[in-house]
Amino acid sequence: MAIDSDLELMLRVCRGDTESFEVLLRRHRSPLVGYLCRMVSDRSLAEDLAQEVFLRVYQARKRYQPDARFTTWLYRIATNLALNAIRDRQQDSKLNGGAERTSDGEAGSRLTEVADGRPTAEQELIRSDRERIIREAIEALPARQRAAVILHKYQGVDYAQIGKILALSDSAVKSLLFRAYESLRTRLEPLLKGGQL
Amino acid sequence: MKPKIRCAEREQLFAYACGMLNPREAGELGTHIRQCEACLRVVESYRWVDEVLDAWRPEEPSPSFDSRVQAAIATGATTSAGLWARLKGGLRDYWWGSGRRLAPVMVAMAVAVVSVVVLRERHAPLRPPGQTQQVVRTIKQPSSGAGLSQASIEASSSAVDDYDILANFELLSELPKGHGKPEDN
Repeated sequence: MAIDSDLELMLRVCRGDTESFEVLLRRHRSPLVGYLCRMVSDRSLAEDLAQEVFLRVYQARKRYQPDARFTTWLYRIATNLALNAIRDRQQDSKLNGGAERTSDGEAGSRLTEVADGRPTAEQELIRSDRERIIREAIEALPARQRAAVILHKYQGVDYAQIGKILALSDSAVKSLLFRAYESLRTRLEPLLKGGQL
Repeated sequence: MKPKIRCAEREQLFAYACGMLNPREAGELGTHIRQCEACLRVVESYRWVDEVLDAWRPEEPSPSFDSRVQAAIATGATTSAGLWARLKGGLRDYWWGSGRRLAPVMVAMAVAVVSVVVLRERHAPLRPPGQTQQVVRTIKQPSSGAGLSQASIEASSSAVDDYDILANFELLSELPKGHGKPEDN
């Protein structure tokens, strides 16, 4: 059986086919929640934002123009929501005297607790520690660099598509990624020195 | 002699490591990298970062995620995060759209309104002296009976509005001394 493309499914959703929307939801929920979790470092907020993304897609179904990939549209909505959430949190953090790091730390713990519902072995502890260092290194990046790295590295989105999602030129995307990787190289050095590879 | 790597070149090396270059550029730089240990180390460092990032496992949606999305679609309800984002987004869009362009006009209008109010207060026509005294007399000698007459109420109302009367209000001087002070217990 041929797998329907996102475009075909979305065109059916435009005509009122709710089952096609459920197919799109099942197909994209995991990557989308994963993306938003990495972006905002808070599982609960990430799920709220992902829910909002799907709701907006559904509500805008009649206005959908198949001139770009469905995932470009999906991740553009998600990225805008995530960047707004990050900015709001930073503003709240400034108002609350810099509680952002604490909040992030708690969020990180929550993520680990939810993800690891099973008993933790020593190897798992080391792995979790390595994940924490990576997460903190990516969290420390400016929001757009963070989005570019996550889209490129974890969502497998190509540079042209990242450019459309972030409204940047190809060369600006490459420059953004270069600066992000330069920062990450420095921040991830403890993993190299600590032999956690 | 090994070529010195500058920032601009590092960006090229990063593009090479991530496969961003076109085949011709990649071929030329690849030839150089095979001969230059310094450039090779830089390329390997970017590849190392890319490998390290693999260790960050993705989060999965909670089991109730689909039902929450479907419920939200059925009711058209937005999440609290979404609602706030929409509200702020609307204000932001307004500001960056027409709002910012209209801001000077709105400020000018606000200044004009305030100026009109202030000037109106300063240059409000004063009542003729006779009418003022009549009002004062009305207040001094209220009409007999349980309540004030409609005319005296109107006169009192206009008296309160009249800056001239308020500025020269002498009735309080007729009050016995100590009136209004809290009684000592």
